[in-house]
Amino acid sequence: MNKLVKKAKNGDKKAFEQLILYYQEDLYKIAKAHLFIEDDINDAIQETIILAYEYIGNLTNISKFKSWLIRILINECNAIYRKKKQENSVSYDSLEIEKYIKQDYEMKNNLEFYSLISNLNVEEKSILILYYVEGYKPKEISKILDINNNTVRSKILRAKNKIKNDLKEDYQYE
Amino acid sequence: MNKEDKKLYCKLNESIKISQSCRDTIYNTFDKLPEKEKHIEKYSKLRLSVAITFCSLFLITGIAFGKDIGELFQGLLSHNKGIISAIENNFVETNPSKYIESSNVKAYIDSVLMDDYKLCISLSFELPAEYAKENIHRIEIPNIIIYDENNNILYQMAMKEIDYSFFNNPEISEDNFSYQTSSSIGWAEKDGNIYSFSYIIDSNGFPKSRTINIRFDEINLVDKDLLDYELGLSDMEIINRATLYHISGKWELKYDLSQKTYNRENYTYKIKNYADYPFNFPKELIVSNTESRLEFSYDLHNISAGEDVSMDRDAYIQTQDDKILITECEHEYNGYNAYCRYFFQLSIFNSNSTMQLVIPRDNGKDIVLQLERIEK
Repeated sequence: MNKLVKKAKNGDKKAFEQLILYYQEDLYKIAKAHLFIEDDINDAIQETIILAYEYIGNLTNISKFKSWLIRILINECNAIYRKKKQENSVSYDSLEIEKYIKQDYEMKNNLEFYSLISNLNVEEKSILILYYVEGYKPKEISKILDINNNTVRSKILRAKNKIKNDLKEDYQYE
Repeated sequence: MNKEDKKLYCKLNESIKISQSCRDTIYNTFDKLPEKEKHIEKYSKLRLSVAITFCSLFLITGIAFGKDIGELFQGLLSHNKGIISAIENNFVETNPSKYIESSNVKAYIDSVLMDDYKLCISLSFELPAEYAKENIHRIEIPNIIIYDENNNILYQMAMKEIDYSFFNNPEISEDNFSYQTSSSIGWAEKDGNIYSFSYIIDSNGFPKSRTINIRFDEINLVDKDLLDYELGLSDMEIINRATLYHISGKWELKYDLSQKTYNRENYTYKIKNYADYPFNFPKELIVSNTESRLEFSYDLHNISAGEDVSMDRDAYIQTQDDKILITECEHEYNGYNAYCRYFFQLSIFNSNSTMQLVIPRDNGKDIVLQLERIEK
């Protein structure tokens, strides 16, 4: 993987595309946790790819490519989220989310995911996805999100507690 | 992972699949990306925030290394036992090189530490009085290349174009990759009109070089207060904005390494019980003069809840009288496969003939790998 990053860093477009395809599922999951409208997710990922391609030459530690990419994506997601909130074009509250789920075929496929994270705030969603889906340690998450290590740990616990009841219900049916 | 964690992990991973529209967006975006001119690695020393752990550690190393080897012991005892043990055992070259003077600036190499994984070089510059100002905090060399007697490129930074013609070999060009995998640079330390700083360069396997050559034709004396990262500006734009003085010249430094460096040998340890766990551990562990690295993978399907390696507690190597921690670790999940890489602060100088490598697991039943040195 490092070899591919090195090539991409040196201007190899094909290598860069391979890297993005390798991490596309990860990018999608992270964007999905932040933004629930498919168009917004696609915009965030598109902008992330463009920025990453433009600035990969500045990547200092090639073994950190993935966390660097995720950081760009989270910044983009946050920018879109803020913009939408300001514009009031879409209300990111749970009622609106339900409405979109009913309308959007793609979202129906991810219903379980949304029901799990719907009660979490944006930061908790990021942390939970990075911790459980991407497998980052709290220390690494604190660096990606630029927040305190202990805050990450306490937010993981808080997020887990919030969705604990959903999980318990699942156990009862198993 | 406990049962609850495992459940959550499975749900979050299984319940979401990338949409076709997103796949289409990705491919459409690829079409929009312009072809780039292929170039050699551009290392932005300014954007250290991306480099995370290694950089913060090495910035400290960089300062102390060049200034006073004795200070390094004090400054780094709590940071990197691998490098400290190497220096304590005199595995470091401390005779300064001959200086090269150009444009009234004398440049020389103070000291070098080189093994398979690390190359630490301390450079000093004696500046004319008009340049030696208090507010110079960093010395930028925008087109430095470090290579050995066999023309192995150990490190290169090409924020400004490097002229490869001196190699007299058309096969050596900007397309040749160097040995570096990552690097960091220390802030400049001032002693009168002499400024020193260090390069700390990582590799997956430096060659056993006998001579280090360093070439560059420009130095920039930079005020750190102006070095603010700003998206949208190129490296050179940032440096130009922060540079107090540009000095052009021609510096070609040479450093002959001693036998202890080029005849260095690693230790090989047999991992006696590598097959006792459902992880793909290697059969052997290599220990260099400054570091040891363990890489392994595993299939999450093959391990039950709790058996997974802990993300909260660090792995370590237990020697007879010390607990050698990791400097850094990398975990990467690809679907249901996990890939782990641990960098231990273990050198041949602080290791014993038998040791235990401990990898914590979520269920508390830690993995204990038995290491036994293979005598040559």
